[in-house]
Amino acid sequence: MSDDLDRCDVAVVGAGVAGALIAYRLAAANYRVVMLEAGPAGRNRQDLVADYSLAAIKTPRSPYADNQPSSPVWSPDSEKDYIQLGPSPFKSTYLRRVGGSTWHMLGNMPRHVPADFRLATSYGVGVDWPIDYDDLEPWYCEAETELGVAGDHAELNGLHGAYRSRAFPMSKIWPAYGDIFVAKAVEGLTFEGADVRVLTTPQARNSRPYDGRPACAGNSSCVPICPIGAKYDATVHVSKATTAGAVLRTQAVVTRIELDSMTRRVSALRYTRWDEQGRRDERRLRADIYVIAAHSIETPRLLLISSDSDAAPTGVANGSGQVGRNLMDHLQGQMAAVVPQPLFPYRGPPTTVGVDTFRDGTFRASHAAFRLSIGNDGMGRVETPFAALEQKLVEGLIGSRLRVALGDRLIRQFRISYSTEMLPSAHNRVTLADAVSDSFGMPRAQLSLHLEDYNRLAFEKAAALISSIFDRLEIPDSDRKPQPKDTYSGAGHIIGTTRMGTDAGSSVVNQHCRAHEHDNLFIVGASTFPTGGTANPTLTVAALALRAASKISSLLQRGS
Amino acid sequence: MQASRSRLLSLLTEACELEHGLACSYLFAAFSIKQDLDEGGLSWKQLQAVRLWASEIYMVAAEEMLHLAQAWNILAAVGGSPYYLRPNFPQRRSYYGFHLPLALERFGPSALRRFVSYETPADQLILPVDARTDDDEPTEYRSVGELYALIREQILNLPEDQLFFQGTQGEMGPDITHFPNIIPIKDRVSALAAIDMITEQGEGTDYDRGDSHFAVFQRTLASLVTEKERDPAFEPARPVLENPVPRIRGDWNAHGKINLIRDPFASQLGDLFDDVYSLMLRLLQHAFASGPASKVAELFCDTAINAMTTVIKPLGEALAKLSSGRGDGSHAGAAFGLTRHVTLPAAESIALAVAAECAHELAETAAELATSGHAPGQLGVAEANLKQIAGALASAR
Amino acid sequence: MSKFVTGYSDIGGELEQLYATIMSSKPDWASELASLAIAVDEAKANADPEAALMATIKQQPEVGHAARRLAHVWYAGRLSAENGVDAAFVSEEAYFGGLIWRAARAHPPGLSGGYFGHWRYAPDV
Ligand SMILES: Cc1cc2nc3c(=O)[nH]c(=O)nc-3n(C[C@H](O)[C@H](O)[C@H](O)COP(=O)(O)OP(=O)(O)OC[C@H]3O[C@@H](n4cnc5c(N)ncnc54)[C@H](O)[C@@H]3O)c2cc1C
Ligand code: SF4
Repeated sequence: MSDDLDRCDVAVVGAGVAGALIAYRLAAANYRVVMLEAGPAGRNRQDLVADYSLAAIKTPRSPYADNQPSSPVWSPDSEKDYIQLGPSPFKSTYLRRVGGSTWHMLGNMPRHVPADFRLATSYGVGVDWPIDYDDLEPWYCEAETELGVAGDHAELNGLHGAYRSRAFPMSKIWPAYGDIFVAKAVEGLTFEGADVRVLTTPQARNSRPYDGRPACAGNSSCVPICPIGAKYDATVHVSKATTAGAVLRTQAVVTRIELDSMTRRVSALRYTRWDEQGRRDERRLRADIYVIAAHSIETPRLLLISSDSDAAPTGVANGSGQVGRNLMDHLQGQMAAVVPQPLFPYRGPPTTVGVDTFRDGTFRASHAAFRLSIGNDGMGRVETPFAALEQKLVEGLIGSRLRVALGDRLIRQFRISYSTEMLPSAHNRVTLADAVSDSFGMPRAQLSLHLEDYNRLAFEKAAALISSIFDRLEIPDSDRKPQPKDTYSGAGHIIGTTRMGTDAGSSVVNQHCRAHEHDNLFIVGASTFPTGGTANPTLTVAALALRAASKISSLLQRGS
Repeated sequence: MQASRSRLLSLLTEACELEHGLACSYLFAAFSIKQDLDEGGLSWKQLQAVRLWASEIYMVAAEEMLHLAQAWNILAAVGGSPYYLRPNFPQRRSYYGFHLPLALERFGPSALRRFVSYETPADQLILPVDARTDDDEPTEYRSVGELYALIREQILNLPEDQLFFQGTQGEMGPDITHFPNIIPIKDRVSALAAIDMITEQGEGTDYDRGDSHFAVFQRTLASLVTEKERDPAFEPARPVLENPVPRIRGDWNAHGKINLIRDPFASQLGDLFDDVYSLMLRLLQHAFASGPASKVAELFCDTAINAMTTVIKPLGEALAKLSSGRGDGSHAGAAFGLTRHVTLPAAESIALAVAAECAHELAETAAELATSGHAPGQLGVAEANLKQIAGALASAR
Repeated sequence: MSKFVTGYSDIGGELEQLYATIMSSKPDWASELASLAIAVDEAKANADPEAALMATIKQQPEVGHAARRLAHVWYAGRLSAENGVDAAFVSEEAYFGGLIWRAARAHPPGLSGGYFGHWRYAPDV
C-alpha cells in the first residue's frame, strides 16, 4: 500500500453510527471522505450467529470472535474488563468493529424530552445543553428516517412536551402478549399523583421491510446480534457511505491526533494498520476537517493521549480540563417475578413497551428521572431458562412432569427494569492509566464512578412503582425477586466525557460538536451530551451527527 | 373509462377478491415451509434462512389482509358492503383482468416466480397496454397496481360530496383492527392515501422499490436459487399437494386440477380449517360492515385475528405435515375453501349468538380430532386456542 | 430412554446420534447410564412409570445423576455445569434444538419464532 501519507476532505475516526452517518452524508455531497476504523469488518452474519449459539454465556460480546481478549482490538464485555478506580464500578461496554456498538445494542430509539436539555434551569441540578429540543427536532425526524425507527406517532407525539413534526417511517412494533396483559392490569394505577401508563417504545427495528432489510421476525436475540438485520446497526450507513464514495480503512487504529503548533489546528491523524499475523504499519492521514467518533471512552482516551507540550499540554481540546469528565450511564435495576398467569415470554423483541411517566417532573430536583421497560425475556439475568431447568432437575422431576413443570414456570417468568439518569459530575471520569498500555503502545483508559443519592433515591422510587404494578398482577411476595439495595447494572449507554457548551472554559465542543480550541476538529457521539437525558442515547447521537454533518458541509463549501 | 358509483363498487369488489386470493396463496406457501431440523433436508444455517423466508411471506400475506380490510373500508365508505367471497382455487386465468391464474402451490421457485408476477410494478410490465373500453368485463388491467389506478381514477372523477357517506361506515381504524397502518375512510384525501399505501406496499414507488412485496419475493427467489445451486439436496418445503381439497364442492374442478385429500383424518382436518377460516371472515365482515361504533366490532376483530394467528396458522401447518393419503408421498394442505357469502346478520346480539354457537361447534370438532392418535402437535395448540376463542364469544353474550 | 426421561416422544435423529457419541466418549457416563436403563425398564412395569422412576431417583443417587445429566443435555443442548461453570453448547444444532424452548412454547434466541408480530398472540406452537 502506497498511501503512507494521504489527503482527503474529511477524515472520520470510528465507523460506528456517529461516524458512519457523517461519512455517508458528506460522501453523498461529493466530499472525499476516509473512515479509519480500529476494528475489523464483520464476518458473515450467520457465522457470528454460530459463535453466539455455541457460547456458554450469551454475553454482548459472545458472537464476536474478532473482539475477544486475544484480539488487538478486544472489547470490554463486563466491568471486569476495565481498569476501575472506583468507588463504584462502571458497567457498560462497547464494541470495536465496523458498525461499532450498534451491533449489540437493543435498539430502543426514544427521543429526549424538552426538559432533558435544561435540567439546570428547570430543576436546579446538572447543566443545560447549549441547544434545546426545538433545535434538534428536525434532526430527530431525519435520524428516525435514516435508522428506520418504528413507533406510534399518535401515542408519543407531545410526550412530556416532545412534539413530533413528522410521523415515524414505520408503524409501531407490536407489543407482546404479556405487555397487553400488563397494560390492562395497570389501567387506572397512579403513583405519586401521576397516571401510570404503558406506552409503546420506538425502536430501530423494522415493522415491515425497510431500507432493503426485512421486518423483525422475533428472533429475540437483538442483544447481542440480530440474525436477519431487522434491527438497525451501523453497517447500514458504513455501506451507504462507501457506496457514495467514502473510503473505509479497517483495522486502522488512530493512535494520535497531531496539531499544528502555530495554528493549533489538527494537521494529521497518525494511525496503525494491523493484521492477524501481527504486522503493523504506521500511517498518516491529512484532511481539511477531522471528526472523532470513537465513542465516550475511546474518544477522550485518544484526545488525552494526543497531548502536545506546545499546542495542547493537557490533551487535545482539553483547555477546559473537561475531557474525560462527566462520565455517565443510565444506571439500571430490575425486579423479576413469576406471574400467576402465563405471559408467554421469549418470543418477540426483548422489550416493546415501557412506562415513560417518570421521565420528567419536579422530582428531578431531588432524584433521578427514570423509565421502566417491561420485559419480554422472562426474568432476564435473575433466572435464565437454564437456571429454571437446573432447579426443576434438582427437584427430581423427569419426563412429562419435567416438561410441564418447566414449561409452566417459563411461560410465567417476568421482569420490569428501570433505568435512571445520572447527573454530570467532575469526579466521574476517564483518565489514562499511564503505566498500562495496549498493544499499540497507547495507555489504557481507567474509570472512576460514584453512585450518588440522586440515583439511589430513584432506585427506591422505581422499585416501589414496580411493586405496585406487581400488586396489580397479584404476584405473591414469595415470587418476587427484587434488585439488591444499591446495586445496579449498566445500560450500555456511555455518555459524557467531551461535553458540549457555549463556554470554552467549561466545555469541550460547541453546539455543533466543533472543538472550541481546534476549529477543524469535530467530536461526535454521546460523549458530547452535557447530561444523560432520559432516553437511550443513540437517536440523539444520530441527530447530532446529522446536524454536525450539515455544519461541516457548509464549512467545506465556504472553503474554511 | 366512465366514472360511476357502480363501476367503482365493482372495481373495489374485484380488488377485494384479488387481495384475498393473494393472501391465501401466500399463506399456503408459508404453511408449506419446513420449520424444524427434524423435518430433514436442512442444516441449521438453512433453517435460519427458511424461517426468514417464511416470516417474510407471512409478512406479505398479512399486508394483503390489510389491503383487503382497507378495500373494505373504502367500499363501506362509498356505499358498498365488505365482501369476502372469491372463486375457489385454482382460479381461472381469465377471471381477473390481469390474466394471471391464482393457485395454491407449495413454496419453491415456481410459486415465487408466480408471486413476483402478481406484484410486478406497472412500469416494469412487458405486456403492451391494451386499449380499454367501457364494455370490458372484467375491466382490463395488467397488474394489481393498475387495478388500483383505475379505482383512483374513479374516485377522482366522482363528486366528493356525493361519493362518500359520512358516519362511521368505513372508518375502522388501527385501534380496533390489529392493522396499525389501516386508514379510516372519510373523504377523497383519505381514500387516495389508502390507495397509495396499498400500491406502495405492493409494488413500491418509482424511487423506492426495495421494500415492496415485489422486491421481497425477488430477494427470496434469488436466495433460494443460490442455496439450491450450492446444495442440490436442499429442500425447504414439505411435499404438499397443489390445490388440495378435502372434498369436492359445487364449483370445484372447473378451472384446473384439484387434488383430493384421501386420508380421512387429514380430510376432516381440512374441513375444520375451511370452517374456521369462514367463521373468521364472517366475523371480520360483520365488524367492517357495522363500523367502529358497533358494540361487537372490537370483539369480532380480536376474535377473528386470534383465530387467524393461533388456530388457522397451526392448522394450516398441521395439514402441510400430514400425509394426503394418496400413496405418492405427498402431504395434504389447506384448501381455503369457500362456498357461499353467508354473512352474519346485522343485529349485533343475533350475530354474536350465531358466531358463538359456530365457534363452540368447531371447538368440539377440534377436540374430537385432537384425541386421534396421529394428530400432529399443532392440532393440540389450535384446539386449545379455539376453545379460548369460543369461550370469549360465549362470555360476551 | 431419552424419550422417557425428557417427556418428548418425537426426539431422535441426528441429535440423538450426536449425544450418544458424546456420552460414550465419557467413561463416567457409561455405568451410570446402564443403571438408569435398568431403572427405566423396571419403572415401565408400573402403572405410573414416571412416578416410579422418580422414586428410584430419590433412592439411588447414581440413577438420579444419570437422569439429570441426560435430561439436561436434551433440554439445554449442552452438558451440565461442572463446578459452577457452564459448558459451551455441543453444536449449533444442539443449541437450536434445545427442548427448553419447546417447553417454553417459544424458540431459541437467534432463531425466528414465526412472523412479524407473532409475539402479540398466544403461542401457535
Ligand atoms: C448492551 C447494549 C445495549 C444498548 N442498547 C441501546 C439501546 O437500546 N438504545 C440506544 O440508543 N443505545 C443502546 N446502546 C448504546 C449504543 O450501542 C451506542 O450509543 C452507540 O453504538 C454509539 O455509537 P457511536 O458511533 O458513538 O460509537 P460506537 O458504535 O462504539 O463506534 C465507535 C467506533 O469507533 C472505533 N474506534 C474507537 N477508537 C478508535 C481509534 N482509536 N481509531 C479508530 N477507530 C476507533 C470503534 O472501533 C468503534 O467501531 C446499547 C449499548 C450496549 C452495550
Ligand atoms: S427480535 Fe429478532 S428479528 Fe427482531 S430485531 Fe431482535 S433479533 Fe432481530
